[in-house]
Amino acid sequence: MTRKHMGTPTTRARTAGAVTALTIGLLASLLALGPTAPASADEAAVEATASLASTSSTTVSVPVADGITPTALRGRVVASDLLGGPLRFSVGGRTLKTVAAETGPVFLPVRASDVGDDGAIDLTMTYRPTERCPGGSGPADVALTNLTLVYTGDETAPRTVGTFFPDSSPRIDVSVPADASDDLLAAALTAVASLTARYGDATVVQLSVASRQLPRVGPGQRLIRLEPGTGDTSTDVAVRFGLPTLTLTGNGDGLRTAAQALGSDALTLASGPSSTGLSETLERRTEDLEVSFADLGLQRLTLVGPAEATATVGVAQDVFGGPVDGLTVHAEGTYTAVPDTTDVQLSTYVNGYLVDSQLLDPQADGNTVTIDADVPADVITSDNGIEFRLSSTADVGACEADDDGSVPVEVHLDGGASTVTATRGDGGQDLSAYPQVLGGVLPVALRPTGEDRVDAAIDAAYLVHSLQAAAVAPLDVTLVDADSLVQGSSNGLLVGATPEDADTVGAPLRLDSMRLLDYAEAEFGVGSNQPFAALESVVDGDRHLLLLGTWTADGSAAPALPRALATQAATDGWGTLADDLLVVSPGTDPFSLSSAEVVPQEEVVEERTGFVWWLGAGIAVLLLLLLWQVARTARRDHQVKRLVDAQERADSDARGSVTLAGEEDPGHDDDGHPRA
Amino acid sequence: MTTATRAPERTGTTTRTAPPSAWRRLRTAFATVPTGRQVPGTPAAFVLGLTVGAAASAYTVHAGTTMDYGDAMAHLTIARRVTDSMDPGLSQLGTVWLPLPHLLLLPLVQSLFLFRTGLAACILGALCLGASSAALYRITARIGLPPAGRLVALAVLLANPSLLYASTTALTEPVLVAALLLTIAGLAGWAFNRRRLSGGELAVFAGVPAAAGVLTRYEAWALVISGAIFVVIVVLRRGDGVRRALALAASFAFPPLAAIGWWVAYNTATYGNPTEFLTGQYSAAAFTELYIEKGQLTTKGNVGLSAEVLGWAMLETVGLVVLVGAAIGLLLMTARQGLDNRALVVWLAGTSTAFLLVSLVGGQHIMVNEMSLPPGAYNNRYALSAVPWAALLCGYAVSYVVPRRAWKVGRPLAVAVAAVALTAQNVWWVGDPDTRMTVIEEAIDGKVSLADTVAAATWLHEHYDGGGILMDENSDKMAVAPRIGVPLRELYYRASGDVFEDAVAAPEDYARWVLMHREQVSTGGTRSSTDQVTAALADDPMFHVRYRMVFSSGDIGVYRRVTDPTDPPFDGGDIRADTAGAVDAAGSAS
Repeated sequence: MTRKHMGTPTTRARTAGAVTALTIGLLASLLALGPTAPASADEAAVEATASLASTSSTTVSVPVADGITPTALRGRVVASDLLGGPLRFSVGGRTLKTVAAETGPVFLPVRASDVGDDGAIDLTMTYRPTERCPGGSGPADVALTNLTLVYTGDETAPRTVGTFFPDSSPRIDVSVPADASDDLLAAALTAVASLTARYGDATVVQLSVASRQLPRVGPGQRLIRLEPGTGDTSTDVAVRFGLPTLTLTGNGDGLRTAAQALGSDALTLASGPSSTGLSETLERRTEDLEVSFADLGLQRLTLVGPAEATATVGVAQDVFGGPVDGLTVHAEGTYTAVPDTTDVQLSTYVNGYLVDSQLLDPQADGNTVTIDADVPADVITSDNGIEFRLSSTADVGACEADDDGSVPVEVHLDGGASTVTATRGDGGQDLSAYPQVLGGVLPVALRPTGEDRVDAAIDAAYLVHSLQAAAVAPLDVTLVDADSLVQGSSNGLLVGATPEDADTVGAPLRLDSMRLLDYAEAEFGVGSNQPFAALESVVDGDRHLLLLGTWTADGSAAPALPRALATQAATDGWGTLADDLLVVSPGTDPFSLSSAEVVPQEEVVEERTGFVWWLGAGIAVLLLLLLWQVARTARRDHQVKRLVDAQERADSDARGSVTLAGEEDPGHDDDGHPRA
Repeated sequence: MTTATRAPERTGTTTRTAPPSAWRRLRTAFATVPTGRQVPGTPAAFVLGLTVGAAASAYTVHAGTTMDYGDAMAHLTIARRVTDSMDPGLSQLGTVWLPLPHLLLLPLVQSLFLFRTGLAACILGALCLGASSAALYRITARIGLPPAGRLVALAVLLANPSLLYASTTALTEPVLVAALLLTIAGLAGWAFNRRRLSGGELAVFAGVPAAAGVLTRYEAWALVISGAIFVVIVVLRRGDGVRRALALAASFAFPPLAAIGWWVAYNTATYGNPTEFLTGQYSAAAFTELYIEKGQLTTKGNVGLSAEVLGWAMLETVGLVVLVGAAIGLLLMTARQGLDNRALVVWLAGTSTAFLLVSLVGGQHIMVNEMSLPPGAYNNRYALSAVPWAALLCGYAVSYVVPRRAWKVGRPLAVAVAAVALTAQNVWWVGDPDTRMTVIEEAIDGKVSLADTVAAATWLHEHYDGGGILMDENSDKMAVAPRIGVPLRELYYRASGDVFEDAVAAPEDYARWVLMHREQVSTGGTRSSTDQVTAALADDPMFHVRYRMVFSSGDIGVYRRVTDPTDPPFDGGDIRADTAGAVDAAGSAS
């Protein structure tokens, strides 16, 4: 615009103002709509860790909830050795970033198109420096930890029962009214178990009262509300206070089986926002004492040399449907041809203990390998790891055949033909006997009544969650009467146990004043007459019981103590519990303890006076025998005396007859001697 | 002309026949019920026991297990320090244990080789086993057991692996068993002698072994009481009157009472307290007091628990097979003989077991096994004193379990069954001795707990170049003088007297070497178990200037003086070992 056409000063001011306003408005709209400047970015922790301990490349799946847009993955690389070389991160073949393989933070930009059809981003981490072999040249101690998803937007709220549960969830709450009936509590505990079975220990599953304000942890969080109702159990999906909520309304066993169905894959068939008749009954567990690697999810195990490579198979005792005290590992596979100049060793470890080792024979026909190894009973734990380790004397730096004959070595183990066979055991005394001793069934009893009963149910829910997370199949959780459980013969969990309960079942730690042996007191900082709560494993005859109880000197309540134990078990995992006691006292953290470290309590000592009756019975038997012997001897002596007296009378009579009459005594001769 | 050979005429002289073979003599001896002083077969029984003891010793010496018990090393040390110490004399016998086992070891441990290898204990143990075997045989002969019963009784005694193991160590149980059996054999010989023996003979043949017993273990004190009662009953049954009964009981009791009197006098003279052995800081009472304070002496006042704990100790020491046989024998004996003199002799052998039960209920000592509260493994070897009683009862069972009319076939069959059962029991035991035999379990526990100290002591034995060693041998897990294997006069320890305190106050003026806990003992069984050397020196910076740690294993350290120019050079360096014996070089210790 030329100066001649600029117009009057008033016109120029109006024009400038209009342009300014338009510019501001345009900028504002750009700010509002611009794709490169989101209004806010949120983060959600990813419960997964990528590790290259046994391979050169690994993939971790990062779930992305519907409706949110991923923008980045944030994490921390932890490399214990100065490996050098690059560490490459990629998604679906697209390289996100290549960083140096050293400890430090890493930020990986991602985009919505990186999300796969399964609703997850498959992040691959690869470590392959030039001097390493393509097939892997030994374990690289590199891990990607503290993985966090950075995203924008809000999760799309589910609208149907079938889509209510995402593939991954950080937290699921189950809530009941503060005055919940036993029907609701039974259903709540079942819901906790079924949801834990569905999501595993990576998802927090908790029971709470409906009035409690729940924390918000990010996309995927869900709430299950249980409400009393009549008739068939109904379900309803809604968003309440910004939280996707599934409400189950019903009563009795119908409500419980509906809660059981929450963990079922068939739930996806429910296509509406509400439904009725939701139900699932658990199938009876098998108690096979032999499982194959394929049954454990491993169709094939591959180890690739030439240097050290490992592959691991996890075998929980619970997979055998009960406790075991013996394991036999049988593995079959094949291996590539081994040069004569190379020694290749295949070793088998169970929980770090060497059970088998063999050299792969270069001369063997068929190149097959068979491993048969018995595992000592004292090596077996609740959750076992079988590790196959391939080692060779080949040159680590060589990846192709050269004059030394070093070539990659591969061992493939057939998952279908390789098995683990167990022998049934009794489980032992410790907390590590669970959950396998339960055999898939967990009766739960709550001793408190009234207002405290829901609190006890919450404690029980933590323990149910912990036990279910350690189990390999869904537990059948039922709510039973406390007296029936204590007096009966079935396994189970009793929450809110009283001192009388502990005495009745012969618990190793009675709910009474407790002292620890000196060294234990010093180590744990408890003892004498402090209040305490204990989670203890009880072996009562043939059954196993878990008791959660509290003791205070004045009989007052101390709900924080059992809650601390229950949350510890849920947070750290059941596998971290050792010995047969988990104890907490005011001012201490929960600690594991063996009942042998507790000074014998008065009740326990009193119960051991019973053996005196056996001693008394033995002494009584001896006294009776003695009396019998004395009586027999006296009778015999009396008989002998009578015989002797009779003989003497007969003798004197005979002598008297000859003397008096002078008649011939036919019985005696003239000299008085008896006639022959 | 031929001369016919005629048969010799019997004109009143006997014809000569070949003497019976040794085997025939032995068989005859086994079948004889003695009525005089001699009991044919006694030497053979002694030789048998001695041989078995020697064979057991050969095994344990080869296996290196003769000094697994800490108490075994302590007994050897007490014996040697009577003559080899900075303060030699009878006061070195101390008051923790009764003195006779140490006095018996005294001549043997004069040899440093026999002392440090534990062979001295093997020799004494074998002799005790031979004496026990002979005495047991004499008892079975006196009470009229047939050869089958005598054989089985000997087998039960000599085939008990726990007793055999104890007989190869310096523990006091072998001496106690021998003393008990010799006492009972003496009483049986007096009771069943055709001639009425005098009080003097009773004192010699029964009272003297009883005196040996009362100076060995407190179980024998109870036998003096039960033995005196036995004498009274036998005399009254003979119709000799109360006065005669009391006189003979006094004759029997005189030697052991004199021995007790000597012991009390010794305590008075040495410690100024006649009951130091009962109430002193090293007494059993002091030991159990700590357990009482901790609430762990749960057998006290609890008859049922005490019986259960003792019963379990007997089960794992005597064995289930033997206990079943003994129970059968006890029932048979009671039914057939009631409480006649022969039965009373057998009951005498049960005195020590009854004493142990009373002692547990009274809280006088502690015994820990799987049945105790809390469980563990401690002092179960006390149940070894029940083996002779069980042996006698098993012998009785085999002799009379079959009716008289079937004896000819039944007794050999019973012996065969007993042999098979004993063998099976032993096979089961040796299948897993660590868990099935509490005496062995305790030995292994001791070996493990002493591993660090033994490693340090062994190293010191190999590198000691004179100059004296300062150590608190009375503290927890430090009774390892035999493993150090140097003359005890080289050691500054509590038994050295006042010079020990002087050495602790100024070690650099006394000892070239120091052996001590690097951190103070916190889990000892008694207050006396704290390491006085550690208490004085571990946190003394000047000590660590004057001494350098040259070896460590666990929390046990060996230190050598570095500030005395007269000390010979030492190039051992700083060495740390784990309890398995692996050694690797380490930096200088702080």
